[in-house]
Amino acid sequence: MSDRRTSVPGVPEPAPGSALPAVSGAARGSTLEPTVEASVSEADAYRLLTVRQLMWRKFLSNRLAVLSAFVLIALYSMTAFAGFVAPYDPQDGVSRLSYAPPTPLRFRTEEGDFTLRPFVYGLKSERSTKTFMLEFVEDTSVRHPVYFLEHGEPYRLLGIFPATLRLFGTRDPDARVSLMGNDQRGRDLFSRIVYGGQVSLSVGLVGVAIMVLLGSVIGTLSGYFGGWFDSLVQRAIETLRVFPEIPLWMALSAAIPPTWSPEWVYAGIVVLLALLGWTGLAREVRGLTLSLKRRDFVLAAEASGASTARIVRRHLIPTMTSHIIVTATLAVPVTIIGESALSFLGIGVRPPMMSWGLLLSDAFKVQVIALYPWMLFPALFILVTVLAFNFFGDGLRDMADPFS
Amino acid sequence: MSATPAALEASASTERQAGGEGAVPLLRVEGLDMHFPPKRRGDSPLIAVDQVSFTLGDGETLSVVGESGSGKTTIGRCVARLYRPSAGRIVYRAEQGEVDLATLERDALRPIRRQIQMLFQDPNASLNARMRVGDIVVEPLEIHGVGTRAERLERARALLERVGLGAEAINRYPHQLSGGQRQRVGIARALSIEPRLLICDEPVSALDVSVQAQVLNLLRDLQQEYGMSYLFVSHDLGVVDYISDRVLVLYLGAVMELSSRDELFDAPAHPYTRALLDAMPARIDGRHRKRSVLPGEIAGPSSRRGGCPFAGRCPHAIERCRSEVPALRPWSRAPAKLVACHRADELDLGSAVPIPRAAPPPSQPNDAPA
Amino acid sequence: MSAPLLEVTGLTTHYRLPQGTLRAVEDVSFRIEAGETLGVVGESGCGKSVTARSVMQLLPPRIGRIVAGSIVFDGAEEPVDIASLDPNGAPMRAIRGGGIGMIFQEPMTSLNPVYTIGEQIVEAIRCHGDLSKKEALARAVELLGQVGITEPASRVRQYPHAFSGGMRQRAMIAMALSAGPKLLIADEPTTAVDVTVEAQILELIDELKRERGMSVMLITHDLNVIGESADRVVVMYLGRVVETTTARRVFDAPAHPYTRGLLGSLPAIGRRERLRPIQGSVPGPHERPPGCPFAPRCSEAMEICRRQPPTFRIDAETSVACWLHEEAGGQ
Repeated sequence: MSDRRTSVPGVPEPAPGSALPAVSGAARGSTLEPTVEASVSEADAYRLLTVRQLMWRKFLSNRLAVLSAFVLIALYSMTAFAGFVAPYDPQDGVSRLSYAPPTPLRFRTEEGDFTLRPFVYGLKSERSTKTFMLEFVEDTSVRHPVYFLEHGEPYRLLGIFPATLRLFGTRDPDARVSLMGNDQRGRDLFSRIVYGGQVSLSVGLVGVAIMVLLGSVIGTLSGYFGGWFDSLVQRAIETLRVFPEIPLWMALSAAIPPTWSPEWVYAGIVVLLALLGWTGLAREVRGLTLSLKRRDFVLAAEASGASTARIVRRHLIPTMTSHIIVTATLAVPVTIIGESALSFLGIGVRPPMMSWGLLLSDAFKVQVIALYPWMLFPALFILVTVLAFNFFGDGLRDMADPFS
Repeated sequence: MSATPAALEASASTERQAGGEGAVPLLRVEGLDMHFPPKRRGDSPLIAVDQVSFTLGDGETLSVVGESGSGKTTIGRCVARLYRPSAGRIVYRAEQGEVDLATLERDALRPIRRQIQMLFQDPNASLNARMRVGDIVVEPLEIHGVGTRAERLERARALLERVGLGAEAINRYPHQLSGGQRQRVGIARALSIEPRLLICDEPVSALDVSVQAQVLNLLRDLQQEYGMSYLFVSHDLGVVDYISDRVLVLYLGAVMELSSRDELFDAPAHPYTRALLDAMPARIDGRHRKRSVLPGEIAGPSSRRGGCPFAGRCPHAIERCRSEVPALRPWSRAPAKLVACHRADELDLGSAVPIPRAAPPPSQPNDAPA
Repeated sequence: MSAPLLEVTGLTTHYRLPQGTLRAVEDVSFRIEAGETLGVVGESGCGKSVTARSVMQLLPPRIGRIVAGSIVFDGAEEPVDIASLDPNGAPMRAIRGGGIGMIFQEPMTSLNPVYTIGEQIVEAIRCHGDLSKKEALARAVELLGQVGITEPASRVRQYPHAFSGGMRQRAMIAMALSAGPKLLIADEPTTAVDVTVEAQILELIDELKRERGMSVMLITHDLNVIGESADRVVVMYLGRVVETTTARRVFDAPAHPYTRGLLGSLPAIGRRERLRPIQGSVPGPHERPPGCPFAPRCSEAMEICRRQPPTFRIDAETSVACWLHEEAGGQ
């Protein structure tokens, strides 16, 4: 209410801290009892840390966030270098390996010998005496060693550079190491997951980038101007949010012409998700703008004659950047799930493009889940990605306010 | 409640004669009203500023004094056009002639804004934490397209030196500076385009005592150098006494008294002024006197009824005070002073308790310039 | 001469922050007698608030620690060293509110906005006694009346936002006094209110002090408030006590250059000649000078000031931590 000075209770304001141990007052002439020397070591002395350093420390102290950051780096690297990481071409199916189970890497033979180099057993199909269906059984008489950094089938690194170096594989083209099993057409699921990740993970980033652009600008203008423009925008946002997400996605996605190429469909899906997802960010940005626009430094710019564009560009948006980054990071998993859901239902990305959601749709039969459970591996990747983004985003959010 | 233009003119011209200026005042505020819509529908609007009028001459400091709810901050912001006044005129003497700031649109305001700058109270909130000090200081120059980038930075260095921060501060961020230093950055920013009028919104209230003194001295020196006029908003009468030429006393958005600085303290005419003076701590004969306590508290601005806003707490109120709003008129004993009180001419407030003059502090070996 | 109500000796409090260890309060000693008001005055960073919190053991957990010194409080049957108590233990909680009460600067944030004033005072009352809710409520109404709130019976059911600044401050005083403490610590109680309300609050504290025979530790940056309300004064700078003297002496014959500098910076009605501020500004925690903390800004600094001066007693009332008084003071 009043305008007097306020100090923040409990927080020591710029106060003493010395790099040198203080000489206590227990010299001669003191009327007080000699006190215990409470000196502070050099290493412990108060340092002036920049805000950046404080933020870093805050982030690093959150181990879950750091772990998630590593996981995300690993995932994105994996998909960026898909050809290198995946042992086989994702479209290359071996029909006799239809629904073949995973071939785990082994380090110890049946006889109990330990080998440094991992290997896989061969697979042979036998007719089960119980179900009379063909089953895969490991053939322990055949051992295929797994080699690392070998040349395999050619591919294009990053889609541009022709290369043949692969992370791992067997040298024998007839013997496959499939870490996560094979699908109905005998294609290695792990390779398909790695390639599919390109779509799933990029949709998140590209979609959110568009959302951030749209949401920040509209939110800021809405909050700053207020009045009829703000009301209009708010009603539009509310209208969009009223619709249940999935049916709305479905409707709009069904509108994408079937004649479009897979690349265009991908673009369409991304734009679609962004157009429906910007509202959350816009609302948050609007709220931030409302609280910022009456701050003294904004008023100072106004009083100097700054134009609205300048105020938004130089004062409002930079101050909101950390909030926007956090919100954006937390919006990525939502977008990923959105794309996965659409593709799973068959109205998202189309083959021959792959995404984790699309791969999951192959698993959408009771028989498959019961008999070939490894087909659900893509779900694991979605889960890990979403969790990692959420923990990472939380870490960012804590980091953005290092003074709490 | 508004002073007649003649009365204002008379008051201002007496002052000007004393000050030696013969020209039209730099700023003339007439009948300024600022109403805010009520928080809840059905309530009456919040009257923050009620028919306030005053003038401000070249190189002069007019302090606007009041407690919370007095509207002093709102007046400052109206003059800076951060609010659009509900009514009234804010006549500014620009190069091309007089303009009424109250009604100008944003584009027309822009060139005038080059001549009017503002200082804010909270050093933490008045600087953009993401910008470097140098960029903050040159922003007004950038906005008005003055000079090249190199020239602007040169100017920033000079300004930072002048306000006592040193040219190296140009690359620092606000959080690396103390409160007093941030306030100096604000001053440098305001000075960059050499304004004629500086609106100071409690610029020292949030600072430590020793820093307060440094900033006050700096403001006084700068006023001499640049010939600026100050509209100085404050609640601290000690500061007001130090820095003002004339003083405007506000209560609940209305002018109670408008006087020269000396006359305000020597011969207060309005009971509220008297109450403020009595409520200030002061020493007489080496002892702190007991302050006389005005009962009650300031009512909310929306709960005003007819009559003088101060009537509820005034020890001298009569029936007329509660029903009829007093006009701002020249005082019988000193016509240059304007008072809004029905009983101003008959009351003798100055002879109650003599206004104590603070004894000069003991000899100061620690004699450092600001 | 009876033992003082509160005797603080060599108090040192450190804060462990990511930036390192902040020495907020260093070797601070003072005493408060029964029935007197001790003013603690200083600017930002001087440690006055941290001192108060140390006495109440209200330091931020894990971060703030009393590392040395004693705080002997003689409020109950026996004197007890607060510094040796567990901050969360029962004896300390009994002292808080029961022996020592505290009021803060910002009444709006110190009162819980979702409970009525009555509920909050009742809570304070029932922490320290065995009253039933009804009895406690009656007592709360009584207290509100004593602190000058009109119509306390209806006010007691209102929420903090319905109270004005001055009224909230009074309500907080009522809460702090509800258990009849012997010592009231007032941390900048009038900084956030208007000057007319300030005068009322100070008068109220004075009245209550006399009625109840309490002592008051009045913390402020405002020398004038000290001059009016305090009997004795402790001046702090950068975590240390630089001068201890009577309120009158602080104005008439300040001994420490910092105190003199403060007076020289004070604008006052009638003082028209140029203010004489202290040069420079309070150093940040990373720039703390060795030796006397004020030396870099002191125009009378000498070679010897590189060593922290001991406290010299000049007379019965005054002691200063300044080498300038080496000869004048003795033991």
